[in-house]
Amino acid sequence: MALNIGDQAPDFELPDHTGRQVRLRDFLGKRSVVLAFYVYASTPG
Amino acid sequence: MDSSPANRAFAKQIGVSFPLLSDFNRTVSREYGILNAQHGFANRTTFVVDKQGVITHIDKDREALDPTGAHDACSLMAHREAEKKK
Repeated sequence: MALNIGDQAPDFELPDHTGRQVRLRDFLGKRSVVLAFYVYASTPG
Repeated sequence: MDSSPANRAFAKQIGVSFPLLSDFNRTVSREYGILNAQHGFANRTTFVVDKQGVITHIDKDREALDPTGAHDACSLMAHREAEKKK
């Protein structure tokens, strides 16, 4: 299901490039977040 | 859909100051509704999420190559927050 402006962003937990687990909920109430999805590093699409 | 080790190398190469996350299993891409099922990867998309966890801006596909929209959305949020504090 596609998300729209005004929707609650689903929480997630993913490993970052250092191996640390990052959760969206860790930023709630503290910082806004930019989530940029891309396919592979250095790809144009 | 880079793995964490591939992201580590990429992060070192470009010197990032933010987390590069690996959605290797495509679970988050699927949940955010941007998984390209035919090719098995996420379509390029940028979401701006405010402090309450609400999506305030979305750029899809080619428009997501240009960070201007997301940057402006962040600036607007910062401005509104500053106004609230006055």
